[in-house]
Amino acid sequence: MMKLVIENLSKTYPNGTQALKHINLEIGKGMFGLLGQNGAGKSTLIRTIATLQDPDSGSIRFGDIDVLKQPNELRKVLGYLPQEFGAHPALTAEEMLDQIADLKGIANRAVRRETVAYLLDKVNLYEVRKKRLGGYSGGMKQRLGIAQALLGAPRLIVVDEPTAGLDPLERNRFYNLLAEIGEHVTVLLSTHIVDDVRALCSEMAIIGDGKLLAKDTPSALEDWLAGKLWERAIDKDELDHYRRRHHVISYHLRAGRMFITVFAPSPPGAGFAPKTATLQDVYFWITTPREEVAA
Amino acid sequence: MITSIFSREVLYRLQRPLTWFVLLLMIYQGIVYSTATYDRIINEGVWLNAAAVAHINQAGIGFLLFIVIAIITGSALHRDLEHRTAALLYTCPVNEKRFFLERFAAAFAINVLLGLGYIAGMLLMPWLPGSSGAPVGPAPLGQMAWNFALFMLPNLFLLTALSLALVVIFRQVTASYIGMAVLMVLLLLTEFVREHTPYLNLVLLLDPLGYGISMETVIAMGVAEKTPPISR
Repeated sequence: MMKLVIENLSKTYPNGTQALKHINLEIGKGMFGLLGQNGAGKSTLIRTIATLQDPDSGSIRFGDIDVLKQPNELRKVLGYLPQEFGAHPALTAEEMLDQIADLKGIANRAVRRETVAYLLDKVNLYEVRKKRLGGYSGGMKQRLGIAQALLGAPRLIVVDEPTAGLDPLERNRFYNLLAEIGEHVTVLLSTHIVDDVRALCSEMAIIGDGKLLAKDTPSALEDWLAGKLWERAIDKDELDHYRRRHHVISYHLRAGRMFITVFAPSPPGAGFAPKTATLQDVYFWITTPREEVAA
Repeated sequence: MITSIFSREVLYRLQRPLTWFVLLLMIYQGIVYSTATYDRIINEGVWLNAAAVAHINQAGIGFLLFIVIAIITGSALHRDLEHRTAALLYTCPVNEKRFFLERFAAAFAINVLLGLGYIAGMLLMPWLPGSSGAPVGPAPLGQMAWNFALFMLPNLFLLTALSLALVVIFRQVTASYIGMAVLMVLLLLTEFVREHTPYLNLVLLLDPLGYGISMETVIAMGVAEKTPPISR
């Protein structure tokens, strides 16, 4: 089985920002979620895996391929959907995909045409395949990006914040497509949307401040906090008071009332009810600076 | 695979109306420059389409071609950055050197095509209204082909390479424009001071195209060398 193995990966940008700090990850077949806040280092990691930039140290292997030494070998089996990408406004979807299919090594014109038509149909763009990309909406461009990532039967698919700009219907369609693909290949999904990872991924990692903070299955991560979360409704102006006394990992408004979620090994006091841990709670618990919440 | 990047880039350019509009402009430039050059040596009894006129014109390539090279070459690479398609294309299994080389070759091919438009304008000029009174001989095709190989191809190659290098280094298409503008100014300055400077060799060396040295050479020729004697 082709595994993506990342060892001791570090990257510091010329301005001094340490984007990756000794990242170690092993990712097998299926959907793998990479969660992290904006600026956590997700995109640096993704771009490095996608051969768009080099790390300062460390190694990445995909099966027998040494990604840093043989970037072109990885590119032969890579499908990549960047966080930000565009399309030439004068080209049609068909022309753009045909060009990328050609670059991906689908040399036979008939096969290329067939593959492009199949993928355009898959992402529901077949009807507008002759329309110039300048007239495409953000969602349509995103779907086109997905189609191009699937060209050439990739064995490793890397998608960076793929659902940005998609409406709920398109997002759902995209996830169904990704889940279908994820049954056969390795899919690395980078996002800051916890629900996306919960719904799709069999394994996941959380990174923050360039470091790997957690790696497990979503269920196992939720188990970390089983029996340790408590919730209660409070007045809005009591928030600081509770923050001083408890390890508040999150707060949110529900029907106009503020609810806080508190981490504590035992019941923290009257008025608190046990709360079933969600992946979002785990995410907040892991990524919220401790010194801040525990003050 | 080797030709697909090249052929797609060339095809892309040929499908743009701007390319054909620029080709028309280049033809027009060939006409205008030929007229202007002929006017400089009209009293020497040479043909309207003398080899000397072609020689001087082709050494200069024309200011419009400078701008065109900057636009065509600059956008051949910068288009990927401008339209944010670079991440999609650069993760395809294509050797980087081959990718850039084929894009360069395509830009060069289009620049050569547009350069040929300039020559077409020079060939057309004697047959246009307004030049009917001037003496016209057979088109100096051999000399023009030689000038093309001697001046235009190397100049187009170097300017295309410089333009592409500037875009790669600075990741801005404006770098290509500025680079071409600097060379244009240098050409203008050297041409402006050439006839009056005591440092002629230095000025000729600073001339980016070799226009000055060809002008010096042609001016020093006799009428018989510039063109066969007028026979009508």
